[in-house]
Amino acid sequence: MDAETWARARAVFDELADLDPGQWAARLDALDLDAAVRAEVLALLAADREALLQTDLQAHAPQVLATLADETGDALHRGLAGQRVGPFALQRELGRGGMGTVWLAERVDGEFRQQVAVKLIRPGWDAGDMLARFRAERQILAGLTHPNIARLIDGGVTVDGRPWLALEYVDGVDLRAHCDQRRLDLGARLRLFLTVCDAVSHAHAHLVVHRDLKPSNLLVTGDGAVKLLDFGIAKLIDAEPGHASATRVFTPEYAAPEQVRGEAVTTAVDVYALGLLLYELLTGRRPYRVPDSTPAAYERAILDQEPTRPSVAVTRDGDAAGASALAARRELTPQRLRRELRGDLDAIVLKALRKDPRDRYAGVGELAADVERHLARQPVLARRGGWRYRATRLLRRHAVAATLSALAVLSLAGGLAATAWQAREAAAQRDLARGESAKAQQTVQFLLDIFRSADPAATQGRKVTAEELLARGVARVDSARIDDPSVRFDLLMAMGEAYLGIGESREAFALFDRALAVQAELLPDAVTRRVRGLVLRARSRGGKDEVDAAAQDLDEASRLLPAEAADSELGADLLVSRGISRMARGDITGAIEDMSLGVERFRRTRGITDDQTTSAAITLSWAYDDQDRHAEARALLEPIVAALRAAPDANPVRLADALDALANTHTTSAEAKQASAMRREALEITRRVYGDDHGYVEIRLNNLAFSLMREHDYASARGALGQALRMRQKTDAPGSRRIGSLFNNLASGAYAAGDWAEAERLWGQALEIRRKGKDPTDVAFSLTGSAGAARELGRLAEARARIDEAIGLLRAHPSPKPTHLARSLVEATEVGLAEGRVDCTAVDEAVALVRANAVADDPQRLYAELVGAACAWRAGASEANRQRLAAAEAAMRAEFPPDAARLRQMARYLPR
Amino acid sequence: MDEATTAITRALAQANEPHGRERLFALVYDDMLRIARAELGRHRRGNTLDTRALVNEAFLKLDRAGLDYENRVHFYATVARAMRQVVVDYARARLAERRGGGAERVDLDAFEGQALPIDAQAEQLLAVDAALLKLAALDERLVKVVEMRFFAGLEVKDIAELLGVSEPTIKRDTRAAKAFLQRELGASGS
Repeated sequence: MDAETWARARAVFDELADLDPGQWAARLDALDLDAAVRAEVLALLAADREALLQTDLQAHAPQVLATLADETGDALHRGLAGQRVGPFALQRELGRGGMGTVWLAERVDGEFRQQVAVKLIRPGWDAGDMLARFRAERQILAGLTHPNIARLIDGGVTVDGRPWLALEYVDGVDLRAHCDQRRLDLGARLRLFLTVCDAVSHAHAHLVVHRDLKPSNLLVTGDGAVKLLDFGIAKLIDAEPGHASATRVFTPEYAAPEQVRGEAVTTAVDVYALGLLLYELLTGRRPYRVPDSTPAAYERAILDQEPTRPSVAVTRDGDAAGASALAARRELTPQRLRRELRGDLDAIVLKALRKDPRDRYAGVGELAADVERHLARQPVLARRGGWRYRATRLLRRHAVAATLSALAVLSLAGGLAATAWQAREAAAQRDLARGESAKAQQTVQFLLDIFRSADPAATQGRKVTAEELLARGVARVDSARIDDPSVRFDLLMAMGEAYLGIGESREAFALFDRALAVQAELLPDAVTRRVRGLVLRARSRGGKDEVDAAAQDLDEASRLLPAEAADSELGADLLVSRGISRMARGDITGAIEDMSLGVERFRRTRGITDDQTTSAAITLSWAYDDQDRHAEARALLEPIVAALRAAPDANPVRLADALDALANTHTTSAEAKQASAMRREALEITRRVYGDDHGYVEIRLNNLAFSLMREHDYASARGALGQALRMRQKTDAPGSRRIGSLFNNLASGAYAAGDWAEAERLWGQALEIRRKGKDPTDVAFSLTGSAGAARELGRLAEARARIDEAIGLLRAHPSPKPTHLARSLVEATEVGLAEGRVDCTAVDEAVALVRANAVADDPQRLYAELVGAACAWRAGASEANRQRLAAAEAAMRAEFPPDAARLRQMARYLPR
Repeated sequence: MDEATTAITRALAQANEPHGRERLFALVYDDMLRIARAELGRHRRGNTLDTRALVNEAFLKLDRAGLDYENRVHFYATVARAMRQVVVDYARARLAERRGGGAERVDLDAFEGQALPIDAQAEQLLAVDAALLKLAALDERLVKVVEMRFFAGLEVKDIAELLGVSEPTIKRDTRAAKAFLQRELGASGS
């Protein structure tokens, strides 16, 4: 046959191969082929049908391969037993790996009895070079004494020139197998993982990167101790450390992207490997779906594929039996395992597995800390997500804390040193600028020194985290030669801000305090510096008991702020901080005054979608809302929501916050549906960004329930609240303030639905928590509800005691929320009427309050009007009072659905 | 990186020079044998030889930083060819030994009264090799595909990527090559 005949036959074969054999003849006839081609095609088709030949040599000739393997492989190793290697005699082979074979060996130089694992490095490495590196590294490796790290004992070259290493012999099973055999639950697995992290951290602190962490290098001994093998070995064997094209010792399945790319190896490689390990310990699966096990396929997956979320991986590929078995080894059902993984653990693992080392945890310590936070049911850092956003709530720092990078420290300090707006007189400006520039230079020099100490060359390739950098800075600021006190001040402030940025307010406070001390002693006239120091020190005072101290700082700052600086960002910052501080002390009116000025200034200087502007505005809207000043809140928020929607790169969580805040202002019956829609959108965004189980989702659910209540959809509202409560009970300590709130809100739902006994029970639970808290208005609210429930159940004495206490608490408060006070006053009147006492003073005050503070169709306002009219009618059955009562009744019927419990309550006040 | 690997890397870079491919093949062949000798135990599966693992091993040892796409193709094609050669050489030696009458085996053979399965396999491997020689005269690419698939154990996807064609093309190639080999083996075997 010639190539031409083959080519033609091949083409026809391709065409006919999928046809039914019955059709072959007809098709061949139609093609009118040359006889040789036709014969060839038929022969091929027939052979294809036989399909005896498999495409896999493995399946085809296993015996040949087996004998080939035996004869070539074993010959080399036979006879090694008994051989001397340094002071050790090889006993038996323990295993083989990429670097060579591992033998159990015993010390035979008579000094003492010692069993070790000897690694015989396979031929192909330059023994001389390796020995030199071993000598250089052994000091470092010998310093690596940690109970969970197998020690390097000795090393050398055999008589026939093969390098060898003797390591502590560990008799154990690999960590994965250990966990599965013992059926360890997730908590136990995480704690073992933390032990591993601790060991790796220790090694990193000694400037040793493992580079080849994988399950087979992590053993658990019979008594349950974890041992990490081969620390630093990869580097010993690896030629030319740091050189990208050196022979790379790693296992393709466990390699980090930068290892595959041949880039410099840092501690981030181990963080990645720990992420893989955690992935496997938790899910029993691998993060990438690799079609086949070639290194090329792994490399592609490692570089290009996003890892499957651990929670999704469990039931991946619809492998139900596999999933059940995996989950059973963790004493869970697959569904439960998924739920446990979803959220925190997903986020932690994925953060460790980021392709770009800079996006991973900055160090093993951070990874471990997040796992610990998860175990302690605290929010984990990994879930801050890609947006530079931290949910700072009311009393915390309102500015957005950006992830701190080393560069940010530099620019921050540079920026501070360059702020020359305190230059007052034009004449002095030039000299001053020269002075400032010299200071800036000193600042930059200082920071450069810190960075130099963090240079990879100086740290042997170890990456330095921002925290470490900061700690170095703090340590050096005392010893460094800084002549100019203003530079010292600026540096302390910059580092303090950096700490504040990463949420370490205690460290931040100490630095601001020191900065202020420097200023007081050496720069008594530097007024703006003092203002800045005071504002930041106030903000770093986190605790509730420091509210007064913060207020003092801010008052002093306000007194000192130069008039010409009032419009600056510092001025805005001061106002917003003081507003928050006033709010914390209950001075809402003052808070609104400060914050609205601050928001306005931020908006002018930073733009409307800026995080500082929007977060300050949202906080302000809460203050308005607190005072039922909804129209003002809405006017503030609507342009912000519109701008955030229009900005393509706006922070979606901020939009969710703004929507939620805007929904607060939609208080009329007609707007209730709109409000619910906004809440749903906010809930949706929050779920998308934070996952289903996050605390913020719970807050959104609660807020959605609020709007649903306003729509009189009590069943849905109670459903959402129940969901929220269940979430909280999983994450919070039993008596948390939030759980108290949710009990309270669920009670309101039950009350609205006419379920008095359930309402009273829930308010009782809320009170149990709230009485231990510090907010008397919370207690008053629940007491009022519970008084109402007792009244409905006919227990008037208890109702009386509760409502009197509630009103007492509210009267003692500097600015109680008007609608809440009105609610309590209405209840007091109702209790009175039930007791047979017709005293309308309380309800009259309530009516005045709701008329001033609630929209016309507010359910609470309508009910206050009704009780007010009913009380007046009981006091005097005049025609005017009868008409007033009829009007109140009509308004109630217009607002509430016909089967609402409120209408049944109303009936008792109507004339028969 | 050891000397042999450096040499292979260099040879890859010079594969297009006169005699470049021959030199490359010689080096890779030696290396495959060496890897097979030193590394076999590592990838044993049920006491057999995992040829794909050997190919992977050879690939891992290369200085991939210096590999361009074309080099990669040469490399895999060459390794697959070398693997074929290693296995076929062994099968041939094995049969030669049998026919020469290694004493123990003849006894065993006589006792059993039939050929050991390994001999049947070895013979079949030689038949495949001979059929591939024929196919090479008709369609060189199909031979490459068979070597990569059959001897080196590469997946369709990898072969398609290496040869710069679609996966369906490789599947069709495989099917046609299989039919061809099947026909040849059937013809020679019966």
